[in-house]
Amino acid sequence: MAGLRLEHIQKKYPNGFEAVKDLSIDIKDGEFVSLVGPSGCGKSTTLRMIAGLEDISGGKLLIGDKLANNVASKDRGIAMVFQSYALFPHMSVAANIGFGLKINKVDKKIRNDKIEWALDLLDLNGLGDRKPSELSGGQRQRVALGRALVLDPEVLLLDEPLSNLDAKLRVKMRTELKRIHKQLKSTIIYVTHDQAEAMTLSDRIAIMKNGDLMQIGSPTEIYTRPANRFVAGFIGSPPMNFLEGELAHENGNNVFINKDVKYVLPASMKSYIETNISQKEVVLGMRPEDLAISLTPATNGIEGVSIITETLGSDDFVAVEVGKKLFSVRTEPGSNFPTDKKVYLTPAEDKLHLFNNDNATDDAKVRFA
Amino acid sequence: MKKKWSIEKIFWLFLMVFSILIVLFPIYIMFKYSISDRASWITGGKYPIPWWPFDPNFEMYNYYLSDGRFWSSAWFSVKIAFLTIIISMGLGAPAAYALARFKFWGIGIVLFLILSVRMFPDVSSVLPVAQFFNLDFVYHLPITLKVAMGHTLLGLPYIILIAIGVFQTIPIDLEEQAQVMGATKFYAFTRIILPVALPGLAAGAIYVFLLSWNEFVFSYFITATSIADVIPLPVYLKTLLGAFSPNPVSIATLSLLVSMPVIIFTFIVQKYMIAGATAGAVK
Repeated sequence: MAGLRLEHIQKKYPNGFEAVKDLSIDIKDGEFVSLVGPSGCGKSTTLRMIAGLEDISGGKLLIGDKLANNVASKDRGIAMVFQSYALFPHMSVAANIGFGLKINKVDKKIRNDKIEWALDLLDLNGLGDRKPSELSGGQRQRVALGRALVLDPEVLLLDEPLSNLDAKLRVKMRTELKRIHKQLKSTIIYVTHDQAEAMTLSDRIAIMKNGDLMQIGSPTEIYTRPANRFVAGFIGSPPMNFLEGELAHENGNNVFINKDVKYVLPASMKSYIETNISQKEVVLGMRPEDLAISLTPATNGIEGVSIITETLGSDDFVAVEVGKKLFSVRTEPGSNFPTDKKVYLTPAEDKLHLFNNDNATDDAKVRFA
Repeated sequence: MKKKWSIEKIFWLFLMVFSILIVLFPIYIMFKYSISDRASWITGGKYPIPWWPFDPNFEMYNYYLSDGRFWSSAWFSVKIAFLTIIISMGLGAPAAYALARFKFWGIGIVLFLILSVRMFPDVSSVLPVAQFFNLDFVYHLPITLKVAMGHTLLGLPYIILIAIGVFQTIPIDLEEQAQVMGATKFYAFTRIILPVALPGLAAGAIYVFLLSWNEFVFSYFITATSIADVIPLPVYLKTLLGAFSPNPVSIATLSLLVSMPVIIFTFIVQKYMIAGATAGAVK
């Protein structure tokens, strides 16, 4: 196993379209890193460049400290699992798993031992002679994984491997992947559009949008200290509540003002605002679980009207209309908060998020961790 | 409660039986004529069962099947058909793969040129083709090969067209996975793509077999202008019919004899045409 480094990686197509603009990520040996983002953000393209299926237009790819830009796929020490699994339908499970070994002319005895090891690791014992068409979706996915693992790759590349599974199986396979990662201590690069998957599996998450890296950090960091509005809104379900407005000063305090809301920002945010906020137009963000909702008026709160409540069993969420926006506020399960009432929201002061409202580039501020 | 025999079901059953009868009826008529005696084929058969001959016999079959030249012609046709399949598959499958997978400038032109071969009626192109086989460097090739090459000209466009369709349905993921694991494009083509494409290609092979087996015009001219002591079956059958109007018993018997191998061949390759061969590879 080895680490991997992307230095100013760029992918530009002949028609001028830039799928990946300027990506630099340093992945340590044994780390599980997810590339997350909406469709078209460049995460799959990046993975394919690492695998050698796409040419790298610019920048350097280093696998284990060796320059790998023009190295053939098979010599890069990588193994890839496709979203569709790409199992060879005419070959048995064992033959599929042993395919890479066979091509590399590994001795038959060693090959069979490795196949046995993979079957055991992935709970596929006894299925060696079956054809892919005779397996369930979860089993096929594990065969695809086994085929990659037997090659003992330096880096394992996974392209949305759980997307084709049903919700319940997906959760189960997430645990399986985590277990395998822990056991083999493999370096894994995982592409997904599902932020929950990325949060639960990764050591670090790299969030991409339109070919740019929005932020890279541990799940906790990304969640509690998002670098920009895009990351803040992308991670977390239900998503963060946003208010767009202006930053003003009153009586030595920073105040957030818009058409419907006037909120005095806590003194603890003063230094943050000084360093990071460079303009008058700002976005104020609050997570549903960081808002307290009450029927009694608050001195420094946000006014709104409660519309409906949703019960998830473990939490209740109240939809509150603030001006033209719809806020989601978490309350205690079973609290049965009354609807169609004037309510007052009080955010937790240490959990506020404030960003520059850069609608043009939608935030070019990038954080490294 | 749903009735077991609804009007709709009866209608579909009737339609199905009717369709089967329409398809089998001509074959039955042919069979009936092939076993008829002279009285039957003039009058139409026994009464009150008008569809069965008075005195069914297999004399005509014996007559033709005991003819040595019939067998040698039939065997010759078989050899030609298989050789045609081998040549057209050998050329066509890789060509189709390239056309299906690689995007190069002029691909549309190439496809058009390949398919345009079939725009010409056989009779208009047969003379130049036959003359070609008289050229010095081609003349001394074995006759089987020459006829097979002629048939390949006719069958190759179809093979390529069918094969392109087959390759396009195979997900490119399989090849990319093989590439990442270190397989050369050739290895991936022969060990992965071809086995998966087999059912579709088998359909093409059957089509070419039929084409070659039934081919008359090209076979006739190529063998006529060359030294050939054995001729393909369709050409041989023509020589049997002679100048007089042939009796229906002869024609029926010969027709059935020629159709038989095709039916048997189709039964054999049928098991390779199981749909869903790619099921299980993806998702």
